[in-house]
Amino acid sequence: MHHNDKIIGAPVGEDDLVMLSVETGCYFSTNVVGRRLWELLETPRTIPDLRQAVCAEFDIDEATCEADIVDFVRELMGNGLIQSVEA
Amino acid sequence: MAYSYRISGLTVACDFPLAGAVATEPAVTPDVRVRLADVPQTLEGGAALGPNWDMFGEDFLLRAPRLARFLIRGGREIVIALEDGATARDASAYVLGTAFGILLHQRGALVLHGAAVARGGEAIAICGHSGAGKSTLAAALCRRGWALVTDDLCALSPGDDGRPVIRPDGRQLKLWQEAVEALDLGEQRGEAVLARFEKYFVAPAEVATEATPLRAIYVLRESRPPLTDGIEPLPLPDAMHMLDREAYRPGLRLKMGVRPELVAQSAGMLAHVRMFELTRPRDLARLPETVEALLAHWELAAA
Amino acid sequence: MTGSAAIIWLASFPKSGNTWFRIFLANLAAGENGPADINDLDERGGIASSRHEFEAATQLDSGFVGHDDIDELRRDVYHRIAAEVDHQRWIKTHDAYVMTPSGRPMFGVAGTRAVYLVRDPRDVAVSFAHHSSTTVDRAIELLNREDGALCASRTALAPQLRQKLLGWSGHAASWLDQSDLPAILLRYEDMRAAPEARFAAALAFAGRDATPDEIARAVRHADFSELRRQESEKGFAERMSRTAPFFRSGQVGGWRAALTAEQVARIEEAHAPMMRRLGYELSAPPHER
Repeated sequence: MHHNDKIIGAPVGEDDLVMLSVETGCYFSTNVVGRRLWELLETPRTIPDLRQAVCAEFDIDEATCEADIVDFVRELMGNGLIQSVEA
Repeated sequence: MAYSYRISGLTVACDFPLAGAVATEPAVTPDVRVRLADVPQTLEGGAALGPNWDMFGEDFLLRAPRLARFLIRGGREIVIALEDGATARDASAYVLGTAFGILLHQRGALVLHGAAVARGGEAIAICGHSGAGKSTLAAALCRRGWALVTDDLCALSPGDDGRPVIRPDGRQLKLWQEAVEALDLGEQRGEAVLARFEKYFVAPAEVATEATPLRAIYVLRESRPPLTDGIEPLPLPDAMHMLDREAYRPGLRLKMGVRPELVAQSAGMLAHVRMFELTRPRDLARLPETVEALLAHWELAAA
Repeated sequence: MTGSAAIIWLASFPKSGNTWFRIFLANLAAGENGPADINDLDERGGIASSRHEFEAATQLDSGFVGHDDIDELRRDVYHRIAAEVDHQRWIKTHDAYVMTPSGRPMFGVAGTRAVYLVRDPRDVAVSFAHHSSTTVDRAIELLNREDGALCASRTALAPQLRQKLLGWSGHAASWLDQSDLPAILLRYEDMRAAPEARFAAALAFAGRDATPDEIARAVRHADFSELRRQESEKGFAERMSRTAPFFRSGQVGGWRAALTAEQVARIEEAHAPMMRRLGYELSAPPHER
């Protein structure tokens, strides 16, 4: 999956990120981990890709990390902020 | 002969004196020129996007009923054609308000519809829709020793250290007669802003002359049930939404297109500026309570 | 927009069931997810006299446009909204059906229709006094003044644009006697007596599809006991004074206990012809007084 062009992301300070859905006009925000995931999703990635990258950079155990990523991705997809692509 | 002003950080040369603006030394090459000349009724080839305005490329044509047509071009020029019976002085109120607001939009500035006041070298902006009581609250703070930075056009730009700064709009306060009376400012009351209207210039005791770092934005709301009085911080997505909503003429910013750089601009600002919702009664008799709450909030945040 | 009307003006003198109607519409939209939150009404169509919407549409500083010049421009704003909306909008208004200074009907633009709500003026007086924390006598003055208006101050900026009311009779006549727009008349008393049937008639007139079940559910969710329950829990942002509950009783004929004979007489003398026309029985024929 990766994020689409109907979404505009912008960093806030060192840690946070805001995202605007151009279609709905809704804003979303996320913290430093979400911001890193967002950056990674500039190019298509799989969940294991993301987990590996995030675990390498942040102090999180793999199980929690994957669960959080799945939640995050589900939320982004639900709001049309990212889309899946053919492998 | 040209009259010179400094408005929202821009040097302005105008054909006629702008009522309510503070004159400055002339600039060699002014950023903005304001002049009286003929202006068409509509823009050739332009899209009529509003009932009384057209936009085409870098040109924006605004028709103010029985007053004037304003052609605002490329963020550099305002050309004014007066309607029968209107005077250049009458047009001043619009030059300094809507016309300059549109010009700042054309220059890509982040412009809030709000008054700003400063103390100890830091400013707060007070935002809200027309009639929300922005100028009245700013005037009340000026009575408590704050300096006026802007009256209703609050242009933000990045300062040297990245923190956003507000540049003074070089103007006096404008207050409706009811607020002049409630604040006991009869002696400071000046001329009417525009003939036929009971709104007056009021000279504040102190005026900021330099770009002032912005520390916080307060968005005014009336405390009608279920809302209760108070000052609450806005979470990031709400703050972003509010910056769009409280922009000077928000529709315009949208018609000019949702651009990534505008989102980045707002987000960049919120890294340095906190945004609050200030819920208080509209009743002028209870204005002192609001002032006290705001001062306490400011002290607490500074501590 | 083709077919059904682009804008439905939900027009009434204040305190005549307009908010109840909007809550019904919100609940109709909410469907099974109702009851709708009474404080979400703002997002659902808005009010025609919103100062902020006027400024967003015209780019003008409305404080520097005269009340009459604003009326002239409001017609152009509505014309544009009617031409551009992609779904039907119900817009509340308390303005009378007025002419602009140049003689054009302010609300009379193509693609719009009107649902006109009317309520017994004696009940309106009681309800208005309560809602605005003013006296019944002041409320009667507003009903009786042929040049009456809301937000008409010249020394302060009201949150809403000036709205000409033209008195209770003048208001009703302005909407009911105009021939520019199709209009349907709903009496508040009839709506209280048979809400499902009257709401259904209004929706059919507007070209808005809804099944009897959907209408019945929305009526239930907009019931006064539900509204009062929500208001006592959370309050209601549209109410004007800080103490008086907005959803007072919604009763019909409450004026009998609340007005003096002299107050009743003042209302009936001023409005007898329109009251008769709309089927409001006078307490005594004028010649017997």
